[in-house]
Amino acid sequence: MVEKLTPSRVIFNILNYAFMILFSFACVIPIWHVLMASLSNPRMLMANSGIIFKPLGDITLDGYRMVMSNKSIITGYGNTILYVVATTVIMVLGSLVGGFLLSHKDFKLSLPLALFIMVTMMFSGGLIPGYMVIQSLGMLNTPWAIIIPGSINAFYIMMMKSAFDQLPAAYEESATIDGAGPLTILFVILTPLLKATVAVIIMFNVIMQWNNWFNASIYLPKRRDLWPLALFMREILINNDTSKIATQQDAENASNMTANLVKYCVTIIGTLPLLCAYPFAQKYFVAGVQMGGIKG
Amino acid sequence: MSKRVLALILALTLLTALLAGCGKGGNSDLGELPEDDESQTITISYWMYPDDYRYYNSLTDNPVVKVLDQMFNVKLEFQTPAKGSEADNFQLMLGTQDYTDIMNMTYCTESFGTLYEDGVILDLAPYIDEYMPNYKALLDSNPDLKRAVYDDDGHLFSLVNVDDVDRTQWGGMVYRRDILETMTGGNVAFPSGNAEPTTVEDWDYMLPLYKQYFEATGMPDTACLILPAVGYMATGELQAGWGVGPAIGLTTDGKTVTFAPAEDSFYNYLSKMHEWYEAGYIYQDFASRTNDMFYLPNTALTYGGAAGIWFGLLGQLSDRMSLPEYGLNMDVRPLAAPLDTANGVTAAEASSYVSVDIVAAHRCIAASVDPAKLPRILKLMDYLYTQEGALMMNRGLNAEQAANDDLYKEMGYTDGAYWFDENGNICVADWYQNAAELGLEPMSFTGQRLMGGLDETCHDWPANQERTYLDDAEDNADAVWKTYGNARVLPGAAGQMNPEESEKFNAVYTTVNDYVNTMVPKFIIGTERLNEDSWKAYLDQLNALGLQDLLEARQSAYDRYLAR
Amino acid sequence: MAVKTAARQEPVKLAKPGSWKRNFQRYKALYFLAIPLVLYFLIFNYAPMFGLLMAFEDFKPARGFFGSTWVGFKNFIDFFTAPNFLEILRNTFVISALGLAVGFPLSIVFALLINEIYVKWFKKSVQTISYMPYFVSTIVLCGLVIEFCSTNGLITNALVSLGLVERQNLLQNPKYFWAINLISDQWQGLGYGSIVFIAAITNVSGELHEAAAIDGANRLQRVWHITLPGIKPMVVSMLILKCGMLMTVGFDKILNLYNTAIYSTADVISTYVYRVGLNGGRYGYGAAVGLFNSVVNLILLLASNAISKKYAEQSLF
Repeated sequence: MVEKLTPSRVIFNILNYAFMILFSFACVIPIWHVLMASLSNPRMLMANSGIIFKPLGDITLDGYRMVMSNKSIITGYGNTILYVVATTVIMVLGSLVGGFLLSHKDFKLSLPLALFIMVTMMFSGGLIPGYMVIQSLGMLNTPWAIIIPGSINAFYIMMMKSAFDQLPAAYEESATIDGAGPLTILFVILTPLLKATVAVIIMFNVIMQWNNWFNASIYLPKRRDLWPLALFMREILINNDTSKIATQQDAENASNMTANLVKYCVTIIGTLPLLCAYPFAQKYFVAGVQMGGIKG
Repeated sequence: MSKRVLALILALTLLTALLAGCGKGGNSDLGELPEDDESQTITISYWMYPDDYRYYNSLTDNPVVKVLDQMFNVKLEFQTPAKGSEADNFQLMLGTQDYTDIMNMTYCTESFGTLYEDGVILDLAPYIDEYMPNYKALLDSNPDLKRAVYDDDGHLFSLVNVDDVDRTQWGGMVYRRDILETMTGGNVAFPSGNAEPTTVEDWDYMLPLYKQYFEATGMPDTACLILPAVGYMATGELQAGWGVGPAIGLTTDGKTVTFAPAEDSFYNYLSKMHEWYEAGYIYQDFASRTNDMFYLPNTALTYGGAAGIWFGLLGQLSDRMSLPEYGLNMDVRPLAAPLDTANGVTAAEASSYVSVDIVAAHRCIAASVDPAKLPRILKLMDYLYTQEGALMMNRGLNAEQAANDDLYKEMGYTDGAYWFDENGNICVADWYQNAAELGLEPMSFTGQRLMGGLDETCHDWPANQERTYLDDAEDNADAVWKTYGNARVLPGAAGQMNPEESEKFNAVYTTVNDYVNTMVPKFIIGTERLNEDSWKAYLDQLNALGLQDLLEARQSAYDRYLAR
Repeated sequence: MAVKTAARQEPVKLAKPGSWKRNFQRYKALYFLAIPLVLYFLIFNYAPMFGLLMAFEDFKPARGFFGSTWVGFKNFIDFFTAPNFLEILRNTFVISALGLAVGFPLSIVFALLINEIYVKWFKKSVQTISYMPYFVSTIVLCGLVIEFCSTNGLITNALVSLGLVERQNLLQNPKYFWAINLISDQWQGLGYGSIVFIAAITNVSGELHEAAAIDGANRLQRVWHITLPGIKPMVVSMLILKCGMLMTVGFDKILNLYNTAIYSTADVISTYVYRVGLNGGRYGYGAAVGLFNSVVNLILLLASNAISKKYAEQSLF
């Protein structure tokens, strides 16, 4: 669509672009700081305060070397990908079904169901009972303990419900007349129209699962080989505190200084895949426009 | 239909969960133990928190564990929580009553007496004579240790790690000598007349010098003196100079439990700190630095050469923090608590956290243990109190044991980690001595923290080595930091409160502590004016919040300890 | 225009909605679809709720839920009579409400502004960059904030040179904590928080815009009459959900940012529970505070849902 350029429009555009540039700059600061810190001379890093704009001293990859020498990182990546994919599949299915059911105004169960689901957002029994349930289901120390209990949640269902509410009712009406069953309506007709929202909840879920160390720390105490990346990273972060520099020998031991770098390297290693993946998810946000525009 | 199914499933789920939650309760007494069939391999589960796993993925791959497995025909199976989740995981284990056979009790907040009454842990006293001769001998030879592990009723709940050697302090107050030299042209003259600063007056002489120096350098962020975020030290190093004890400590005569921020002389400490803060001698941002543990002040300041006095570590002494290539030359010296001579303080007895505790860790056996397995478990644990067992824990495998170990073979350590010379002295392998330089984690090759008693034989530095562990600067610092002894430190074993005491204590502790931690920085910064009236109001509020309960709970636990 | 995107209307009416039996026959498939979902929530969310018993007990982990001493409402009374109860309650509410009142409109405005960018690569880059801070760990971010607000920090310097504050550590003064927390929250979460709305905006039809443009509606009018009504369902439901979490304040952030000198404005329910409940070993007490928090949240959720039903003619349930 060609936009007429009125003077007020021009001013708005200039301001808007200027704001976006400034805001982007403010947003880049922290990650830039972390990236530069991860490449800095560890000893100078310790002596530094404030933002780091360029690596302190000579660029070093020691921190990354130290992180990557940890065997667990690769195991962790693998497990994380498994958990992210599996929970996402379950979460998307659950949220689509849940959102679809709740958005059906004359389906009598939708109101009680909504309340039933919303309550779980507010109340939880806590750690110990949660553990007991997982234990009695025999899921303890298995990947299922991470994949199943943590995947479907009320928040995503509610988001999907709002997305379904946003759709014109005409789609379903005509499909029903054509004799389509509810599953066909849900997955074949409506879901493609909500690609953008599905992309959002997938993204939320991916980010959440990517960083989720807590469930694994509770449910997988005997199986280090099943831990996700986030839990290994947390161990590395906590482990490598500078308090280890207790004696002369320790102080001279280069690896203890490097330990200071590690928390920055870990952040970069843990974040980069997500940052790289985001532009692909964005594609669907744009796709949403065209799909939504078909019938109007 | 679906509703009935749902109801049924709900009921079932709840029921399973309920059943899982029902504990046994009540004391457990296993009585006479069955004969141990040693040909039978048994699995022993063990809860402990991990150290470094640099060379293997699980503790079952630890060389020491493998040797133990073979020796006793067992399979040790570990439950190791992730770092940072230890407390959660331990509480979870207790809460779900899913105990391992052996439990490391470091993260236990409950008293052993209560756990025994609730049927969680075993009383080992009935078995020690028969199954644990070495442990028994150790206890018999050390009355202090015996007092710490047996309770008033003669129960023995724990197998302890013993640390009966005077330990090196790894940290204390330090100061930058080089700045003083620069500012005085090499004529540092403390008012007390001593070569090293010893009184508050001396500090009054030093602090302005630091300030002038830092102002001249033009560095934006500097600190003549770095205080911990809460304004005083839980371990007592600094306020000791004003005659104040550690946060929870003892009176000088060692009889009465005290609470540092409510002691009379704490007022003098606070007013001096406020004076120094006003004068710009104290780190202006100290209160916002909650993430720096008390022993790790803002490294940007200390390592950046922008701090005068702080809580330092052994590894920061003399010129170790220098960066000559960037023109940063430091001379860091240890510092004893400054005596508040103006108010008549002549010795600072509280001055350190040097442990007065010979028990380094507790391990208990779960009451849910299979009685058939118990003899073997006890025998295994007892082995760790022999010299060979203790050496294995602390140094690693000997040549014979190492011959079959993959990790030792892979690293080329076939001579083992230690051996005896012709005089019977213990010698330690080069790789073990120089582990730090080689970037090794010696703990990976030993069973340290795993279990067993730290034996004095292991602490004595072995025959084939000079005592490179501590150099002169470190030895000196150790001595300076210990100048005033530790008479006011409450022994850890005396902290074992009984259920009533710990309830009383927990009910008020956080509130009292929160109030103190809020007020002390305010008094120092000056947002709350410190004078007779506000001090009195502060003390009144502390009493209203239950300070007396807190002290009483600790006192009665301490009295019971003394009476034992 | 707005009609097309308004809430779904009843599909073809074959039977009058009436008895459950009729409804069941009519929507048999939907009932069956609901079964696995209900089971899931029953097992993983409802079954563990017996743990809420803890709030009424002097809970000792070793004794479990059924062995611990029953103390009734003692934990609740202890909390309500705690010396800093009102302060904590106020802080929690203010910090959270500020976040909602400022952050929520801001993320919508941000989404709208992003939507006004027509240079594709620029739009994509801004979006990607805007959510970067969200990925940096809270500890690192809080470290930067503490640095910026220190006596000689970047922000302090700027404010001092503008004559707005005296030179001091801003995080040691209780007056500034709410503002510092709010601004740093927005810095970290604005881009991330607007993703939902950016997606919702893209769901709004492009043809409506073109039609309106032909009718002579200007940019602002179109945003007002087309885009906003188009994303209204998403906005309202997000708002209701957020209201239902009004008494919940992120815990990590405050724990890393606050210090004892500013407890008077910075201590919130979650940090209090952490200190007292976990560090102090008073599990029952912690659970009671948590339960109180949940009940308040539930009331807020129901209230905001009812208000929205009445005035915005839309509700979550």
